[in-house]
Amino acid sequence: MGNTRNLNITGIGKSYGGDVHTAKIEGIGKFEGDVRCYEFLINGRGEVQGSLNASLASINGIASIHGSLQANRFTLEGKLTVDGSITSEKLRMNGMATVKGNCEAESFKGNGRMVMEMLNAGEIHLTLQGSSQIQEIVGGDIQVRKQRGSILGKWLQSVPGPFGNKLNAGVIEGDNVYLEYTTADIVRGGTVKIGPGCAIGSVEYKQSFEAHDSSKVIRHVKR
Amino acid sequence: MEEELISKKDLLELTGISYGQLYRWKRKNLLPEEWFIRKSAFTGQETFFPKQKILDRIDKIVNMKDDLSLDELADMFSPASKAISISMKELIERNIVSTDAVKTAEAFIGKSERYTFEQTLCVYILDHCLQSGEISLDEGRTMLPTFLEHYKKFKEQQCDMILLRKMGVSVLLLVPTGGEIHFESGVKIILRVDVPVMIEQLKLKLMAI
Repeated sequence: MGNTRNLNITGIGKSYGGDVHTAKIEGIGKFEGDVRCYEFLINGRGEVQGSLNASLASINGIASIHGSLQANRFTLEGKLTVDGSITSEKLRMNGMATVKGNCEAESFKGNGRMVMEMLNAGEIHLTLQGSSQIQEIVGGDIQVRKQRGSILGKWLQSVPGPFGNKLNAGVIEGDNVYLEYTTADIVRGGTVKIGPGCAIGSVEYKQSFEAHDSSKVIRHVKR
Repeated sequence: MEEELISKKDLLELTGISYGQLYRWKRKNLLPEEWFIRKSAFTGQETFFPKQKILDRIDKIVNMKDDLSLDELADMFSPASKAISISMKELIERNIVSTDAVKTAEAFIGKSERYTFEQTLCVYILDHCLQSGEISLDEGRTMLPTFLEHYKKFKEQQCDMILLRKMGVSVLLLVPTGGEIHFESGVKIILRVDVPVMIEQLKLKLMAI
């Protein structure tokens, strides 16, 4: 990318998108169109009224993207809404992400609350905080864990309702699967380990299957 | 055209590949998105694939992934034209196309020392149709300009070329891949050519040096 132009918004402002080297919002800003760049950064609150294509993208704060998001490396600290889908190599999300479409990456590390249609990655590490909802999770190595610690969290656990750290999923398929505090209809995999707090409709496994005492698995079959 | 489908579970069992591999190939565009067909089964949502296509493709990937990188493979399977140039002499010598097809095609794609991928594709498809013995040289002559003019209008060149005949009169048309079409009685489908498959075949042949 031989483009050397930069697109910076500091304070409050808006701009048309375009093809630039760096696109940056510090404060509150809006890009009214597609943005293609090498580096993309939001510190504060930003909006892209189109698709975003970047090599490096990082969002600290709140962002909404009306189109799709494509970035080799992507990090989120805060809250993100994407109307399209996310394609990335290395994806790290900390906070809350809502994706209307699919989310695809080689490596996915999520911490927080994720709502998406489908998550597909070679390696998925998801730490639950709040209630996540992912229709379909497919990958090589899938690990879903609950955030440990906070007393408040434990206290909220005892209250039924939308509190607590948990994952609601339709289908989970992977070669290596470890789940905690997950509700799913079907889990398919090579080695499947069900940790505490799960409710699974049916498990189909190839090599091995293990379940924690506190979890409910209605049916499991080796195939 | 009803295609036979295979479920993801059966596919993995049959081919011995893992979820990780299957979806890595999908992310690398080795397997097109359209082949992932979601259907509701009694167990909930399930993903199905067109059986023959996916088995062929996986077979190719498994056999070639030691020699080529995933990106090179993706390039080969993508319907986008490759930037190449090759001499017609070489094409004939390597038995990719026949001399007759070249002679017929020259009137439409121009005579030159080196051919681009698109030109080669035209000759290749013409050759394929002639070899099948179903079409005459005359029909081949009307086929080429039609094909050249229209095939690019399809997204990623996902189209089938169909030759119809009724009472000796032939008609050529291009339709989206796999699309269903119905005719009045008396119409006979002489030939249906799947263009992406032809592109893939040709790339494969060009690469095998």
